[in-house]
Amino acid sequence: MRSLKAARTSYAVTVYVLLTIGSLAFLFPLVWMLSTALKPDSQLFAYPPQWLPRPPMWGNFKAAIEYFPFWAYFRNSTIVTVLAVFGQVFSAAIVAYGFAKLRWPGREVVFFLVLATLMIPSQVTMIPQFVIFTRIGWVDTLLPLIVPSFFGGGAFNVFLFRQYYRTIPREYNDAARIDGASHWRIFWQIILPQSKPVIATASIFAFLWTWNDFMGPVIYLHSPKNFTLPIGLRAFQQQTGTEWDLLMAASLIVMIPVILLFFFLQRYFVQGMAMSGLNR
Amino acid sequence: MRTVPRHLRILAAALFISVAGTAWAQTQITFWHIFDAGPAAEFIDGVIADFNTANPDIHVTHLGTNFWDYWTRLTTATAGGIGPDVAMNDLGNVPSRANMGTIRALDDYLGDKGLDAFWPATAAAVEWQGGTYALPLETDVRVLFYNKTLFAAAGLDPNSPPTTWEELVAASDALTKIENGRITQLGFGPTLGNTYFPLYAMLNGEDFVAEDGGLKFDTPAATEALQWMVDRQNAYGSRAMTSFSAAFSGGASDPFLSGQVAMIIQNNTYPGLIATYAPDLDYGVALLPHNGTPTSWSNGFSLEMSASTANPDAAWRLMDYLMSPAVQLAYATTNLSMVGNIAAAESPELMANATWRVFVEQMGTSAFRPFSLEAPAWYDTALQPEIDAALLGTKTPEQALSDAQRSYENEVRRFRETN
Amino acid sequence: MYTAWLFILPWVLGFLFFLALPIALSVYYSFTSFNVFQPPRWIGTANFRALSTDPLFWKALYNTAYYTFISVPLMMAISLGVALLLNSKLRGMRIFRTIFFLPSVLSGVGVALLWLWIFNPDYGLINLLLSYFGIEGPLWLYSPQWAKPAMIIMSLWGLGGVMVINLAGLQSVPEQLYEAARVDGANNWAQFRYVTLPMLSPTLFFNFITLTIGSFQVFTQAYIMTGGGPVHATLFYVLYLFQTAFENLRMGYASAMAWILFFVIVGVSLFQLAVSRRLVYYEES
Repeated sequence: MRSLKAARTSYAVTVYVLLTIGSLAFLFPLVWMLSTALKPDSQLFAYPPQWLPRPPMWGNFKAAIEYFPFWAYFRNSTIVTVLAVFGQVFSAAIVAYGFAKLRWPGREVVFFLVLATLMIPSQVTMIPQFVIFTRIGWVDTLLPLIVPSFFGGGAFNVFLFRQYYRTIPREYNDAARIDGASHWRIFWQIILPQSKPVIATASIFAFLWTWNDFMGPVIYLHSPKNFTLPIGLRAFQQQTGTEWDLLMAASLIVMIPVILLFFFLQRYFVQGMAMSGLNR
Repeated sequence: MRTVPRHLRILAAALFISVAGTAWAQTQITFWHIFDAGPAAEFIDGVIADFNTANPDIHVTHLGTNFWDYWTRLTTATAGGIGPDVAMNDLGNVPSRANMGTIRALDDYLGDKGLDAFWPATAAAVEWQGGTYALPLETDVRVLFYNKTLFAAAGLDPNSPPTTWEELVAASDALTKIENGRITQLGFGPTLGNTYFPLYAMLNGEDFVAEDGGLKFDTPAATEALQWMVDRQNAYGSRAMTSFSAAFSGGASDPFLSGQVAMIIQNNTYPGLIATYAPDLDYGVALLPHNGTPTSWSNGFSLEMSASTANPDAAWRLMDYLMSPAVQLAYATTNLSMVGNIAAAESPELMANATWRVFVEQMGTSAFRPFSLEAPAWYDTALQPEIDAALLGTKTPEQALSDAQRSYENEVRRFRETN
Repeated sequence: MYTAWLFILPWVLGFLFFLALPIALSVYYSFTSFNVFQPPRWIGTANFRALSTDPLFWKALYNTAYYTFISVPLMMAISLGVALLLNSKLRGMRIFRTIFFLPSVLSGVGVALLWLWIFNPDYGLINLLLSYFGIEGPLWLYSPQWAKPAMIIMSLWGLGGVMVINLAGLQSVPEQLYEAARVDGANNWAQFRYVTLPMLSPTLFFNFITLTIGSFQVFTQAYIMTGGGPVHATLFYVLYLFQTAFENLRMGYASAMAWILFFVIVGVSLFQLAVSRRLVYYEES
């Protein structure tokens, strides 16, 4: 009995030690980021480097925001993110209904086509898309970053919604049909209200993707009045050198919405990841 | 009209002109540049405001973008048909854009004066197939900066910096200190600062131009220059040397500013960095030490007019204004730039400064690197990997340069096949 | 029937305008010389032939393959290891899960800039930590040998997403299977080998495919941190494609590159699929 207990204890100790080392390794970069963000100029290039900023320069955060047009970029990032997330989630929710709750000839073939588009690297379409958006005068507007989201919401989101809808019993649909409800009403009043978890999950993924997107803004946005935050962070890298303390402060500020969302909605992050991995 | 008093008539005319200028006849012009922060941004703000005031019939909107992203932005915007009427661009590859047809020839505006007002070296950079496609807004020039305090401490005369490679090597050896395999003070490093292999080759008499008009890298003079670089790189241990280069990422970590490097090749904007990060540094400036051919390497920023501008006349007036001696002088004072306009660069205010006089003198011998339409980035694509291989010791200088030559010729061939 | 098409109409329109049309154009461009200013000019297969002798193309392909084939297995192994630890029924696992998961949701420019600073040879975190063990750290992003390993280390910081997928997979393995194995006298290793791995294999395979496809498209880190240097050591495929298209405006050449990438990804995925037929266990359902 004793040896079994000892084995269990040593097992627990091993797990805790390994996890502690691992999580320290995962936390260090963030700690380092915060430490750098708070360092006075004189300490940035101290050798060997110091862990603790002395004194902590809380003013760096204010200075970072004032270093570049933070609020204008924040506004653009917010506009793009809110609209793109709404577009992706809403249109994927609608499209997935057509695949999950309606029977029609060719459905499986078309759905296969949806999944097949996941295989095409975005680089293939990037160049012609740029040419098309150029011709219709959308370059240097937020439109190329927003409008495509409203058309199908991305194959991955359609897939997520379809999988979820299929777990909603058919009886709801059948009962509503008997009552003479249109499919649009069923979607709007019965299916959508039951789909909050998948809406949350898809929104989170869409949010992460849009908020952090860099290649799209680099290609399509030219004038600072249209810049989003990821582009704005580049301002700290000047030809003559980098303002590391302010840059780290600004990067942290840009990450804060993601971190907040993560802590409040971690359940949905996990669910979303799990769904994407398991529902094959 | 006779009944109307003269001053009223003038008033009416002035009113008309200003109303016309601001309300309906005003020509809109856009101008893009790289000044997005600091005094340079404030300066350009002021210059454009002055221009708008002095030219009520034109309204210039200008835009500064971060240096690192500017080039992609300008290219994609131009491709998107929403590029600016006038833009700053790279003085080193003007012919690429001229050949593509994205920028407009300026000869009809320049007239008989041509490029007389600007540094002769810049002419080669802005001309393409008989046309002039850009103006040299600012060029730059590389010289030797040296630390007078360290010179004195090493028993060297702070007032006679090295003038030849031999003297440079001797001074470097005297100035280098090594402790436990770590360089604590370096005399001179061939890869530190604003310098690279083509400059050393030029100082050794190489111009890279082949008889057929293409480029040639595997020449005796180039090989000798590369061998010299390799020798200098390994003189105090290659690992220790690479450590130094890595630390050199601008700002406060610059080893010359911190007194860890005694001699460094930098361009004419460097005194501004010294003033910011090491105001107490006692330094001197000298013509580049050479191996037979006194020269330097210049590049810089051009001013170009979009081929698709709807208002070339107004665009030209802005360009002409930006190139005028008064604006160029102010530009030079603000940005410490070697401006393209000679009269501005040689104005008494600037020439009062001994450092500036060295820049101007060096500018007289300086040259641009040759341009290749088929391989515009020939240094990055063909040469740099080979130079690095030679510096790391994985290839001999001969082999590196002959590989670079082959790589360049292949690039030319690929360009011709796909264009 | 009409209702169904009405529901999927947004996708159909999006497919036509943002996918099918660009794909058709991209195929066409790849056979042309095209700089956006002048109309595309047909040059046949010249782009593809030129690519086959372009050293930077091969370098970029090599860099990307190196990155993929080292970072993906490492990520798979470490994320499975962490997931196994987190799957133990001990207290505090939620906190650990949060810590490992968080970095993976932070991505893009901010993270790239953070790691640029972390890898600074003199003032960065990594070499500071190494110095505690008496190791003089390498030059990382300034060294042609260490720049790719640096990028791989950075990618491992984002393994949390894969770890969570693994964890969900582990938690869905029915407890009865372990009980049955224990009754048969299986030790821990045997349980892992004959229960966990087969049951988890579809998840692992999914991770393998998605991670591989993602790695082949690595871009932002290299664009922000190194611009492809030093000596093209981090010139990844998509970065080279991006530079060709949007810095040099060689749209035809870049389109040809995009199609080669597509076929490489399809080829690698098919290969993985073929291998998985033998290794992945799918429950009969």
